[in-house]
Amino acid sequence: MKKKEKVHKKINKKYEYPESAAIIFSDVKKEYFPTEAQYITEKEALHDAKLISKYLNKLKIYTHLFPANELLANRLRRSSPDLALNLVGSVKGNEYLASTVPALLELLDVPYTGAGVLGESLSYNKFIIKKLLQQNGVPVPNYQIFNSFNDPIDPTLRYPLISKLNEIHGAVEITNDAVSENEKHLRERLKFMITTYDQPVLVEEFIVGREITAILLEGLNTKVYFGEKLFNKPNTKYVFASFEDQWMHDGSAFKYQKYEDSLLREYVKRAFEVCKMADYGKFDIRLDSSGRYYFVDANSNPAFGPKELDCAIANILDLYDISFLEILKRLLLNTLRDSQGKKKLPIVKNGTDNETT
Amino acid sequence: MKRLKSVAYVYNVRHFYPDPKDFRNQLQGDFDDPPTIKWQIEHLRNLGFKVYPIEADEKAYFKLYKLRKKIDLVFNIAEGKHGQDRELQIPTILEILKIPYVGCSPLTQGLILDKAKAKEIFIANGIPTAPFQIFKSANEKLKKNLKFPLIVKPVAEGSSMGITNDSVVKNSVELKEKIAKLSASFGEYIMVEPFLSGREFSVAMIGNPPKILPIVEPDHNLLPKNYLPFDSLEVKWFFEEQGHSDYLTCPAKIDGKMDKKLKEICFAVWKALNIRDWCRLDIRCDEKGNPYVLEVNSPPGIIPPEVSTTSYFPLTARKAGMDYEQMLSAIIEAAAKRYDIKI
Repeated sequence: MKKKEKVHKKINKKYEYPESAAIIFSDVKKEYFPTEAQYITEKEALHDAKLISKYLNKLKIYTHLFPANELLANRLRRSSPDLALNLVGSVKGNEYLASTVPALLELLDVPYTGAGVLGESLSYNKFIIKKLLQQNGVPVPNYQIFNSFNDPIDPTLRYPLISKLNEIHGAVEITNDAVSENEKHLRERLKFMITTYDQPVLVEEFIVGREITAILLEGLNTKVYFGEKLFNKPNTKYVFASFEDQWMHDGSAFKYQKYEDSLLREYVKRAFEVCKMADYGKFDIRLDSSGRYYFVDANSNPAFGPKELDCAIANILDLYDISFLEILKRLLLNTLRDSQGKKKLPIVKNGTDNETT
Repeated sequence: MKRLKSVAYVYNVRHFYPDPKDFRNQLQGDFDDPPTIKWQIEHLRNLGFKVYPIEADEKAYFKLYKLRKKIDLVFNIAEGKHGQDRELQIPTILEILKIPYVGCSPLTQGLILDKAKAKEIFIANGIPTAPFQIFKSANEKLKKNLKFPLIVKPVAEGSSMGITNDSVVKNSVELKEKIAKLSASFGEYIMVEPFLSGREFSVAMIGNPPKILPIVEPDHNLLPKNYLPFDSLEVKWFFEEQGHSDYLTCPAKIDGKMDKKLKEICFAVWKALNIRDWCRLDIRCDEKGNPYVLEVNSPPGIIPPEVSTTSYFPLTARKAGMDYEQMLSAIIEAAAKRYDIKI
């Protein structure tokens, strides 16, 4: 439940868009990031913010573009926006510091889009997320956290195993080398990742099978949209969306197609609540040959933008004929109404209610 | 190694004393009274620190930003003025400003504030805690494994706020009424769990790795007849403050087996939530004497002896041979060590 208490002075009519919005984006400097790969995931932050700004301008909303750094609070205070779009993926290169942005916005009483402080903090700790999902009956692969590369390995874990940075999203280090078939390779991989990124590594059983991305949009009628990744990766032993597929290639490694399952929809809704997300969220799910689902990633603040940015949220919603502008409108109105203690607006399919999804 | 010379003391000040009959009044319940703040600042100064008092309001960020180069460490006891994750606000802005601070990380603080999330972590780690259910509205159906009497509380409040003498319900009518009332008053989800009828313990922990201070046990038999045997708002804020010195037993009279069990639970909680520097745990037993973790208090209340002698953390510290200033010093030392700052 979001509790944003202040009723902004300028917003006094129902269904009115804000007059001004702050778009807060990651302050990206190459030296902030330990590797080129992590830098790549964030380097277009300003460009993306400018693009979203154009969409807001189309709605006659005045925009302020603010990088998330220590000057942010002063800038927010001076500009006094009606709301803030929080697009921040990292602060000074640290993803776990992204939760500072909602904290600041709460303290300054600025309504904002996306998850709150706890939701954002959780999102950057995959281990805790797994524990919570598991605890709430959302299926996850067997996993173990490694703080050191020579921690004893849980003997119940079965190879192949995939290693992921515990506090970084964007598929950083999810390369073909991320999957280990034996302990020797796993130890080497752990040593490299822990040393390079100075953070724990989550190791989980690699689920051979299909991969589905779910986007949940919160509203009066919360909607879940699925896109199954159709991979074009011949002669690849372990097929999954790698860092290269998502950031380096021309988008030919996979494309999305519609997917539907009511059971998975219920899991996604539950996961969204468990992870304390708000407004929107993204989940990656693997489906094994027996038809069992496994949640492998949860992101409370995934890349957000129009189709031009080639991000999952726009690509998947496009399958369902929902435009970015429509999503943006709902997000703004819901955020403002939420800040005034009102109920959320329904999500509609470009103007018409879309109860079936 | 840097030497610790200055401490920013970040707090929230209470403008109303909690009233069990007025829930709006309880929204500031876990803040501190002006005399408490005044004495805490004085004790910090007595330890030889230059103290910067900062109220955790809308201006806090700007004050901290301005003083960031002068502050060696923040002693944060703020609960956050408003917002959905209020207790996390100060730790998160201290992270962005890179100012060292006492206490848990924002993530841990958030998990602790949200009692349901903390319980999920306990269960996932095999730590005993009572089953529970979260209600978004009063109309939801009660889970079959929850049997009356049940206790109803807001999911993210501290200092017994919203937990009053009538929080224990015996049937579904009372349950619905209570959920509706709390939900309207606090604007948050409501947690329902079995009312455990056994002994209650409060366990303070300090240091990294933590030491357990003498365990506190309230003697519920000494409560007036119209009070239910648990630490309700009425008990904590009125009965205890009336000076019933024999109400709290410290160290609690427990056998070696129970002592071992409680300590094991506390260390497991500390590890599972990745707690830092200090905290206080509330544990309650069922009728068979099995202990269950109720919640973690972080930051726990530390009202100075000049204002109250029943504040649990200073009380148990005294029993461990630490006066108030020695207790503050031990907490600060634990945090300073993490940042490689010399006291």
